Amino acid sequence: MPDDKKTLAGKIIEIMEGRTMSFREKMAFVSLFALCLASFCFAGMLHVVHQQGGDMHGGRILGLIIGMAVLLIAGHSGGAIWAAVSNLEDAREPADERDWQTAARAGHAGGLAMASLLGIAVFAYFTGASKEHLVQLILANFLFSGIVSNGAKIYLYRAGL
Amino acid sequence: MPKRPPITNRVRELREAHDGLSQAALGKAIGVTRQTVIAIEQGRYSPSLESAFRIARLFGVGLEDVFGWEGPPPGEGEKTN
Repeated sequence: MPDDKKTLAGKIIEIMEGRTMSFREKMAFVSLFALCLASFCFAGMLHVVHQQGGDMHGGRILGLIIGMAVLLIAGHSGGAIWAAVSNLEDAREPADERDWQTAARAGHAGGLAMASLLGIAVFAYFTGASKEHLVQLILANFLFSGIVSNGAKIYLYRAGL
Repeated sequence: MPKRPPITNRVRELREAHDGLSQAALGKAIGVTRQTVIAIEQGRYSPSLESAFRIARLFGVGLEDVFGWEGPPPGEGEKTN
């Protein structure tokens, strides 16, 4: 089928089952997708709570953390199994120098993102932000830095080191 | 993002001349993945010095017969980073 006729889902399936990407690059896509999904659910939860006029008390925060953790684990596990099963040969290859360099640079980018948001959280704390907002900011920080890290990884794999 | 150095290579040409060695077999021989070999051949990745020597030794040629520098000498013209 010509490339322009394929749907987005079809292209994703082709990427995950094809051999043009290393297993670790596919996992970066899986992680990015899982984190975006978790971020969407996180934002949705906050929106619903805000609309209902409620607050993010301890129980809700704990539920949100557990829900996001379950979503991330399920998303990562499912995606990893799919990527591995569709290309066992590539999945069995150990990480090489390019994988380590890519992971290091992407991790650096993610670390910068995390440090920036933590700095904002500290500033918010000293300027009187509520504890609820601080917790939300810290949770968003983990999601955002993960998205930056995996996005950087995909970019480095595609564009080259 | 630092600019990549202007390093060229003849890995694909040498590989095909070496009894049609596959990318996977080359990767296994020098200790990198098949995708890394693809990236090297496409110029998207410059291998480490150790891997570069392994490639050259595998093909039985010198390092400069595999890799080349197509930019101006360092210190002249454009900077690489």
